[in-house]
Amino acid sequence: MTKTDPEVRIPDPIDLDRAEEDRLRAAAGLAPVRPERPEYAGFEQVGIPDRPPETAREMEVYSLAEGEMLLNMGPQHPSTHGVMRLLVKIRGEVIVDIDPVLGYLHRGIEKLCENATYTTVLTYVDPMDYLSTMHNEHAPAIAFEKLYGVRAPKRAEYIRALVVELNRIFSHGLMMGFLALDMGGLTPILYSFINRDEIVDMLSAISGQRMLFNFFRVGGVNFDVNDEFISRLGTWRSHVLENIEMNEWMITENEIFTARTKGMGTLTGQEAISLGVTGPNLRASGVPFDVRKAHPYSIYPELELEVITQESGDSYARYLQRIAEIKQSIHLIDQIVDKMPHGPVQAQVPGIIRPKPGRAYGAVESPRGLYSVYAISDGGPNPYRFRMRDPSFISLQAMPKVMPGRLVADTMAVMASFDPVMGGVDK
Amino acid sequence: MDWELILGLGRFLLATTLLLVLTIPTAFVIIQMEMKIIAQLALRFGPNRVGPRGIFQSSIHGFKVLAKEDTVPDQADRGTFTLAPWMVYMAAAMSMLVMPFAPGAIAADFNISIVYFFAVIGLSVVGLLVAGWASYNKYSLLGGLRAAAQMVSYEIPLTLSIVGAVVLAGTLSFSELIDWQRQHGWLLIWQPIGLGIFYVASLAEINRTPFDMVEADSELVAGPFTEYSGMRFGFFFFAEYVALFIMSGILISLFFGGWLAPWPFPAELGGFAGTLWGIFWFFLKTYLFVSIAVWMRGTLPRVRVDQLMGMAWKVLLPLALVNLFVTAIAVVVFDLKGV
Amino acid sequence: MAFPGIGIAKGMVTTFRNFFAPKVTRQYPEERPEIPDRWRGRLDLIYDPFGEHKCEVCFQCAQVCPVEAIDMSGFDSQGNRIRYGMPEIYDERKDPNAYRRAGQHARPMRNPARWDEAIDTPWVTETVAGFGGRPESLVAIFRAVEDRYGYLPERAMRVLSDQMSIHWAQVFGAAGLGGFRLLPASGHIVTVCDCAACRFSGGREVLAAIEAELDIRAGEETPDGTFSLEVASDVGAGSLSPAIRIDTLVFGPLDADQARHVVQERRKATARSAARARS
Repeated sequence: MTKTDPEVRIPDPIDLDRAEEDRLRAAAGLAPVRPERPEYAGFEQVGIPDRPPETAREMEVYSLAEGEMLLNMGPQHPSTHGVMRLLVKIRGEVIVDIDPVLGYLHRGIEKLCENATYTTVLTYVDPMDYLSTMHNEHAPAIAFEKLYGVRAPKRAEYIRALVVELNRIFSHGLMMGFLALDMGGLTPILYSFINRDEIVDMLSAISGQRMLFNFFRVGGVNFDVNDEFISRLGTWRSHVLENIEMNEWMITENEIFTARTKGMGTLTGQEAISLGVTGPNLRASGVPFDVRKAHPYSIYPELELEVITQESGDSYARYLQRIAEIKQSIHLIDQIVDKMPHGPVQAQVPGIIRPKPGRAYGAVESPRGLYSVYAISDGGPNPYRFRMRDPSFISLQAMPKVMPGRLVADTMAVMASFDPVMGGVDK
Repeated sequence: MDWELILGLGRFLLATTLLLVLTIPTAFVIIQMEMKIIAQLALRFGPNRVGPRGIFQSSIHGFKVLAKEDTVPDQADRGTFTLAPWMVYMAAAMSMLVMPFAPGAIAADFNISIVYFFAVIGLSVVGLLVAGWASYNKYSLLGGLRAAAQMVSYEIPLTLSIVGAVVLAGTLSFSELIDWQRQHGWLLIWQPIGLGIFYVASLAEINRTPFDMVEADSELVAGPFTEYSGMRFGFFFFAEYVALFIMSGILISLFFGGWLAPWPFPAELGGFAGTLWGIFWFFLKTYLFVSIAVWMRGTLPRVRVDQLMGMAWKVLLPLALVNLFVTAIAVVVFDLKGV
Repeated sequence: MAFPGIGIAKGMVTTFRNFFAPKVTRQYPEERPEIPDRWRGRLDLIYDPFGEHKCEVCFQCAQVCPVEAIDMSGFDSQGNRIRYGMPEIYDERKDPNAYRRAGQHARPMRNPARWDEAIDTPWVTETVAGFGGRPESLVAIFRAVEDRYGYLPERAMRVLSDQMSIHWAQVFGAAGLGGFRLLPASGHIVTVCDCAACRFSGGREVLAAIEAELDIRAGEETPDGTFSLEVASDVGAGSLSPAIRIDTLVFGPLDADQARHVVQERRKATARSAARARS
């Protein structure tokens, strides 16, 4: 095999198209697509990427000082929580700058929803943040109920809160596992999956699916609770605390784990608020903001709920925060099961609803933060605009804030503690 | 016709061939053990379909590794790229020459076999560094540099931790050390701190979790091995497990009596039965410690690279020096030399 | 970072205990999971209490499916078959599947598209109407067309596909199987079967014998145009392998000598009828 001649530069197909297009435009007397910018002159091959920078932020990231190197923790990577590209500028092992490149999992869900009826939209949003499916459905359900002017019956709201809390438990449990896995511990993830499997079996008994539940409807839920669900819930409840504790024994007091997470990725409360981080990440930095308490929805005003916070705001605090929230959710489930009233589970709503033109906003507390939906209706069977605000997207913006100065090895640990899910980030 | 020389040479060649050949099944067995043990720790079964209870899984992996496509990156330095796995494997294989399997069953019984061992086991660093550099890949480079830093800095506590044992026993040869342990009790009672330091340093030296920053597969894909596939990767992979076996073997030889049987049993027997007895106990103890290493791999997360280095230089090295100091003073004060 | 510490010990104890605990893996396929009643993953059609399928083939589900995962077919009130999806699924496949085609050399397309041939379309429409427009009468209509034109023009097949609402692939498949001439040749078409069964029982020797007899290779025509030889993956011989087909007559099981004899006889018969026609 011959070595590649370093003088010969094999052009990237994108370059060819761009160059070709510019040539044609010049021949037709038009300006090139991307105008020449004198401040980017001389920006040749840096390694990554293969075109000059186009924004000031890119300029900042791609300009290398002496001894720095651009490393691509690329879209294909064993542990970037999905497909995400992290452009890391490192000097040796120390990170100087980090630039998340997103959009590899974009599926055009918001646009798809513009061509779907309101009930179909509730199935399209399932695979967004695929580890918190019930929350993904809850927010649009609230928004559409506001648009249409219907309230779900009490029993439906209780069932909604029940499945939503179950979803929160297994999502936080998985975060524990993923955090340990990204640090090299191979077994806590499997213990988390034991817990998740039980919950997901339970939810499949009530909704018919194990992951993308399609359970919520405008005006209530699809099915009522059945015996199978109750029996599985009881079995699960009897040993869930031992399960969580077993997993905690593996991780929480482990010296290696604490040495790697204490003091890492510290986000102060003020920084978190200015970035827009919400959810357990925010509460771990000491800010007591919980959507269930601040903007109450569903039946949360009737439940005993207190907002837990941690003080330090580092990765360890985010981890402890999630464990505390698991225990809080278990307590909430106990209350819900005690207080559930009888009644119908779905309001009388036609199959295809045509709400009057208007706008509505629905926000829920998902395991990753504030998840909200803004829907605009134009009177037809499809929403005019369906916009989702996903918390993982915002949490990832905190990475360039907390990472510089840390080592490459910390990247994954800190990112896992923020618990992003790429499905939600890219929609 | 110097028959002794020829016979000695013949015996040596036979022994080395046997050792080289035996590294492969050893690696297979340890890999199979690892797969099953880590699985059982995580409440799952591990491979249980290939062969009765899955015992052929690891051998099939070996054949699969042979059958894979051999890729070399276009701009990699082909010669050194090929050489790197050999270096790592040869370091492991050469150090097996002095492994004390049983009385009279050592391939090469020098009188300075301990020095030889620690000298040779450090050669694998070169292989990893070369692999990282020759791959023309930033991940590999980072991994290779981490490997160099880690392995070089842990060699010092590793060798210093056993100097106390050597001073007590007054010899640098494995077989004589084990002989001393037969008379005076296992060295783990005499040198507990040395044992602790040696255990930690040996895990770091062979890149085992919790010290496997080199091949941290949640950060650097596979470190210096990223661009290797097929049998090239197979060499690295096997070398790692053979090194684990070797380190466990040396650990028990130095501190746990080597081929000696524990208390209720007669420590050594004579003749051919004695050789078999020694081999049996040697392998039992070695695989016990291999299992402990595998257990630790399944349980513990990784130590970060700067914390690793900090531990080597700021904790283990001073501790080893203190241990050596105390031992030396004790030997002089209580006149234990040559006891 | 003091090593070892209580935290690490706790972790090791937990895994040690779990080493001896019963494992949670479900050994599929020996142990099956309990499927809940509401499980939506089953691919079943539901029956009503009278034993009829509840599905009315209204195509609403197929039309609304965002990934076009649903195909179905049924009959409308006129008795026409209507479908949503590839109809090969609902009828017998006429083309050999990939498994059968594996190992066979690529055959040149026997019927290059000649879509611009002039066809008497009103006559075709009349014929179709005469048979009632039913899809089952396709082969009979083929025979009528072949009688009129001496072969089945492709244009005629396309018109039929259009008028009878049958997918083109089905029409073409039926023509290929039914022993119809698709090229305007006046000779006899000798087709040797090349399916797996015929090949195992000596089809290759049969082919070699006929090639020797006619002095042409498969896919060619004799210089005087009386015979053309080809290989097909199914001659409709059922289990009489190895088989050959001459025009619409199937002969089988044959060995090489018998095949040569058959072709010789046909040759002589053709020569005799040609001589009689001349005189």
